[in-house]
Amino acid sequence: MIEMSLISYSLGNLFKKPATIIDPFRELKPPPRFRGTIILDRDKCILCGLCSKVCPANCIEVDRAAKTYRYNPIKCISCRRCVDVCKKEAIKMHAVAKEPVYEIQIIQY
Amino acid sequence: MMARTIVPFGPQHPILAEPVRYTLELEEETVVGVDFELGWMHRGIEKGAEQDYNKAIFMCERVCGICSGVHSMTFVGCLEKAGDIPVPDRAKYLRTILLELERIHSHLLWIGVAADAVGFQNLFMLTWREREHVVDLMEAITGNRVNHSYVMPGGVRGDVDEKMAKHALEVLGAVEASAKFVADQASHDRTLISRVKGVGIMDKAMCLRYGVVGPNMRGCGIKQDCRSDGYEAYKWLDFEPVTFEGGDNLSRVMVRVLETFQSIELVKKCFKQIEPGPIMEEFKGGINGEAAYRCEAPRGELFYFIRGNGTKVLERVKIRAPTLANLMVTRELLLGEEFANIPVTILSFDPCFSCTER
Repeated sequence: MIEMSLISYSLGNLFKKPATIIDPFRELKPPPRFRGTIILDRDKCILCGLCSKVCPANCIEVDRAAKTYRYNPIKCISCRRCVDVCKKEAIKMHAVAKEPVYEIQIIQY
Repeated sequence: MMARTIVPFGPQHPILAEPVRYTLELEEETVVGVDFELGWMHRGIEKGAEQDYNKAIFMCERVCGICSGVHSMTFVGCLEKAGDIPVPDRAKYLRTILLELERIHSHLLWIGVAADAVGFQNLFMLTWREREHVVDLMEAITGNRVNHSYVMPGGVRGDVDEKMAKHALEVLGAVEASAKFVADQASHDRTLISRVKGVGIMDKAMCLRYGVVGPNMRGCGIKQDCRSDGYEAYKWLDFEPVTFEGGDNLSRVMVRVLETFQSIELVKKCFKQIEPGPIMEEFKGGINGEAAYRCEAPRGELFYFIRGNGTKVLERVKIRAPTLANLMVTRELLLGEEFANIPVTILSFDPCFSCTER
C-alpha cells in the first residue's frame, strides 16, 4: 500500500506546474547578488592596477603607460575580488550569466 | 579449483560520475579479489595553492565540485589559526549556515545518485527537485550555486538580512516537508530495501581498523563527528551526531537521510540564535608558522595543513579529503559480495575522487 502512495504522488505531479523553468517562455532571473562578469566605469577608473594584482585568475591586464584596461571574461572565475578592492568603485558586477562564445573575446576599455 | 575471471570496473562506468579503476577477481558471481587504482583526476591543486593565500582560497575551493564551501572554510580556518585572526560571531553563524546548507544539498544529491544506481528513477527526480531549492538558496546568499567564494580570512563576504532569512526559512520548511514524505515512502519501498539491506556489511572493528570517517562510520553505530569539536558556531548549537546501527548499505543511506533533517534543524537554530553585528574584520599581512584544521565535510573529516614563512605566499598546503579514508575499506568489504551488488556498495560510500586526488 505504501508503495502505491509514492506512485500516486508521482502521477499527481503530472497535473501540477513543472518544477523546472522552461527557458524561452519564462526568463530566468538570477538573484541580485549573482556574480557574472564585471563592468568597468572607465570615467571613474584611475588605472591603479589593484584589481589586476588581486585577481586569482590573472584575467585583468592594466597598462598605465598605454592607458588600457583589458579584461578576459573566459578566464574570469567570477570571484568578485576586484569589486571588493576597488577604491574608486569603478568596477561593478553584472548579474547575468556568461554567454557561450566561439572564440576568446578580450574586452578592452 | 574454480576458474577465475578478472573484470575491470571503471575508469569509465555508468554509475561512476568520476573515474576510478577497480579490478575485480570473480569466481562465478562472487568477488574473491579486489584492487583499485586512483590517479585519473590529479590536478596539482596542492602545488597550485602555494601562492598568495588570498588567491589560494579560490584555488582550494575548486578541489571539490559538490562541497566547495567546506574546502575554502577549512583552508581559511588554517589561516585564521596561524595568523591569530579574530572572527566576529555573526560571521561564524553565517559560515555554519553555509556549511549546513551544503550538507543538505550534498546528501540530497547523493541520495538521488544512489537511487539512480539501483534503478529508482522516480526517487532520483524527487530528491534532485528538492536539492534545487537548496542550491538556489545558496545562490541567493553567496552569489553562486557551487563555487560560493563566501568565506574569507576574518569573516564572510555577504550579510543575510531579515528578508533573506525569512525566505530561507520558508524554503527549508517546504524542503523538509517534501523530503520527509519522500524519505518515508522510499524507506518502506520493497524493491529499494531488497537492494540495500544486508548488503556490504561493515562491522565496528573493520570500520575502526581502516579509519573510516563520516556518515559511513556513523552508519556502524560509532558516535563521532568533527562538528562536536565546536569549530565555528557549532559550539553554540547543541546537537548529537546521528548514528544508525547495522553497518550495511541501508544504514549508510539512513544516516544521510537523518543527517539531512538534522542539518535543516541546525540551519533553523542558527537563524534563531544569530545576532546583529559586524561580519568581517579586515586582515592584511603575512602568515607565519604552521597550522592544521579539520572540518566535517558532507563525506567525513576534511583535513588541511599549511605552513607559511611570514610572507603572503604559502610554503606548503596539504589536503586530506574524506574519501581517501573511506576507500581503503572497500578492498576488504567487497570480498564475498555478489558482483551485481558492487556498484551499489561502492556508491554507498559516497566517493568523491576529484577531492581525493586534488
